Amino acid sequence: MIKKWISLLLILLLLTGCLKKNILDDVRLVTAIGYDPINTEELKITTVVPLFRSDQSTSSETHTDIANITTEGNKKMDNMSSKPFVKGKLEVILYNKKLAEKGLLPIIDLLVRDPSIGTRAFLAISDEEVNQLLSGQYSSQDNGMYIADMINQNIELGLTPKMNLHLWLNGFYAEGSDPYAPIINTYNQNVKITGIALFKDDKMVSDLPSDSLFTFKTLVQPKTKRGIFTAELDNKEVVAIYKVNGKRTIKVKNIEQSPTIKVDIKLYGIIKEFSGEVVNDKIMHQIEKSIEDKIKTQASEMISQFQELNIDPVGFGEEIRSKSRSWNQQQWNDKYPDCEITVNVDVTITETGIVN
Amino acid sequence: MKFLKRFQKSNQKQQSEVDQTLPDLIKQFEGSKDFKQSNIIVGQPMTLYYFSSLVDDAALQRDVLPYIQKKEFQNLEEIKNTIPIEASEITNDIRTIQNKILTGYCMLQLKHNETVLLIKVKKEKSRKVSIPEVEFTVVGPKEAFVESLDTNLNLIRKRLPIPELRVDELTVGKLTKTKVAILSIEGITNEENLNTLKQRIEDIEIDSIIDSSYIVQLISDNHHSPFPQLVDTERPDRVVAVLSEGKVAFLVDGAPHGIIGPTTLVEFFSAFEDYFLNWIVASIFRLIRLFAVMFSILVTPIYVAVLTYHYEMIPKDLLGVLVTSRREIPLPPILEAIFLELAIELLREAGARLPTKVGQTIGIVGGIVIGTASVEAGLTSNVLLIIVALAALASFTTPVYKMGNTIRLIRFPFLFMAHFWGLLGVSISFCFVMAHLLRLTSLGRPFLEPIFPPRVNDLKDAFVRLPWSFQSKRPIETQAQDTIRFNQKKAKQKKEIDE
Repeated sequence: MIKKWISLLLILLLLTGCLKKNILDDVRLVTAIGYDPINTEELKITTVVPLFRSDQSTSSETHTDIANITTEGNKKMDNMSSKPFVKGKLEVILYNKKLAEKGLLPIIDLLVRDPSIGTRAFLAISDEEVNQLLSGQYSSQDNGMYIADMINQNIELGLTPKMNLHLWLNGFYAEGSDPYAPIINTYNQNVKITGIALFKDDKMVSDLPSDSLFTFKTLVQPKTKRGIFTAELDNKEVVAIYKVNGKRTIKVKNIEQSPTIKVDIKLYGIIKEFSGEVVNDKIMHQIEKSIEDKIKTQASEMISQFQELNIDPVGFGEEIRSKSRSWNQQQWNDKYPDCEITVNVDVTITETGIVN
Repeated sequence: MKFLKRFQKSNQKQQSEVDQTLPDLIKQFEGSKDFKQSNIIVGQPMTLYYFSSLVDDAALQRDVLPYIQKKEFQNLEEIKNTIPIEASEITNDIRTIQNKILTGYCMLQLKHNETVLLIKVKKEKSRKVSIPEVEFTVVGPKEAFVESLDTNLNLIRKRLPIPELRVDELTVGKLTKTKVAILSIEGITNEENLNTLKQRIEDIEIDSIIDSSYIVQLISDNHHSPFPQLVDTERPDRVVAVLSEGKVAFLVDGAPHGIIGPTTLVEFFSAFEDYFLNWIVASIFRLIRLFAVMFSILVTPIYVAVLTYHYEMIPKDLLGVLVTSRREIPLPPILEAIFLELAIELLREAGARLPTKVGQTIGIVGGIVIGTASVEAGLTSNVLLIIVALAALASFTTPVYKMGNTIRLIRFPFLFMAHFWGLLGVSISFCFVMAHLLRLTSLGRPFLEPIFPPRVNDLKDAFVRLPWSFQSKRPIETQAQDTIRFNQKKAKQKKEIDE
């Protein structure tokens, strides 16, 4: 008995030497990491570390280093700092567009393999040089948290579809779907989401502009909430609706041979702004109709674009795979571009606001 | 072997005490200054023996001496009938004589007979019944036990005026001869509980019992557990309440606490005031108290674990606050935490040892001055100061004092494990405590009931207290003979006056 206790105590005391301590104030927390290409062999890695001041304000400090694509640049950065860099609080991962076009897999692997990195970190693409973007001064927060909050706010309340490292990897590894990521750029001393980058496997192949974000979000997410959509009526009146609820269902017929896909979008919205005077039943019907038409054309165009590029951010392939017994990635890739996909939109306006 | 011999010797010594004769006994008593004897020569020569320190002089002068000096008596029987004191006895048993003289009786001996008359003229010195201080409640009765067993029994019997209330008396302690009264209700209390308690108290082998807590330590199921396994209370109303639930209680002469068993872990976190308040209010207060216990045990260890190993877990909005508060501090989180925990324990200990008024001052000086100064000096972070102070405050919400001590104690192993192994260490410690609690019993009944063994019926008065109409059955935990407290249907009928 005593032997057992002594050995337990020894295990407890001796094995603690094997643990690596990361005391909060003795490490440098990396909140954002950005990658720029230099040449085919080398990468420029930018890390953002928050500097907390005693008056509770925060500013950020950026460190830049050049590393070979296949090796981790952070080890080099440790040489410059009095405290080690740790990546457990990583919030944002930024890639330069040129890098994304060449394929993200070899670089993203460094982050995926590290268990301390949460996969809820946001992944984004930038047209500009990431180093410049991360070095800017935007708010009283440090840049990593600022960009993370900005993207999160847009996902929760705005038009950006839900996307983070985990979902990106899911889109990448899942059979029958392709990932996408938001594009962010500087805009008047601020950072703005300017569109969505579309990937074929790990390579960025195309992008969508910011005015198609509403349709894209309603298309890729089964359930959506919030977001504002504007449309023009036949008589040049402009209307803005606020989406209360959105539902997207995918129905597939003739799964095994040549699938025909029907996408049903149901939207419930309230009128936020209307340039016309009175909203009566007739005009409301017109409004609903024009919004339906606009979303329908946008969505159909978008889908035919996807089919041309043979990419599947919506996950039609996955939808069919879940219902079919003989699904095969290769066959699907051949079938997909010629697949018949129709979009049905049904808009219901539930409120017109208090102005008569 | 040597030890066995000594044991036999002491047994022989006890044997010889019984063989003592009356003159030997008197001779032994005469060694004490306060042992008095007076010869009365009216008719037959009589001698009165008593301890002046145990006997009420006034009563002796008033109720004994005038009567025995009045006329001549032929035998003790006549004297016994003349003296207006009921508690008197004629005996020649040396053991009885010794015990009675030592508990405030005076002995009357005719000539040099071996048979004597014992008359009770006991001096009653006891504190008056006062307000409960440890288990004070705003509503409800305000009587607390005192050091006198008779008074305490009176406090209980007046609340339970039924013939079924049984009081068994035992004597424990070779030197102190402390009286222990075991209370139970016939027909309700499970005999097994009663017998277990009785047997354990009878088996106690000790020279002196100063307080009931001695007995609690001696009869606990697990002597080495930091958790108390019997509830002690200073409220007679609580004792009565648990007796009617089918539990057993005992009172010890000279101890102002009644002891209740069998008990469960949750009973230690139920204040008796819970039963006086509305059930919704009482339930929420009880849940708050249980939360406070978990908070008190876990919050400092989690702080240490997270700051030492798991910075990933800190929400990003909290990061700035934590980093700025810790930046100036040269100590690792564990030393910082131990420093503050020790400071609080010191304050508590100093407050407990000092008189009330000085204690308050110490509390203020220690709390404010040391707290603020240590933050300003950069020894501790202000976030931790808040956490530790809250944890200490939470640990004081435990209604049973002994359990509160345990809660404060088991924080420290958690703290060290958090430092050594991070959150894994905290989980390991938690599992260890749970395993220990699962193995604990109270008078042979499971300590973690109603969680394990799961008993839905007993949940009605565990984490929450449901209204009285739900409490029509006695808890399964006590294994009461009669499980029905009252008729639930009748209790739910409410007749209006105009019906």
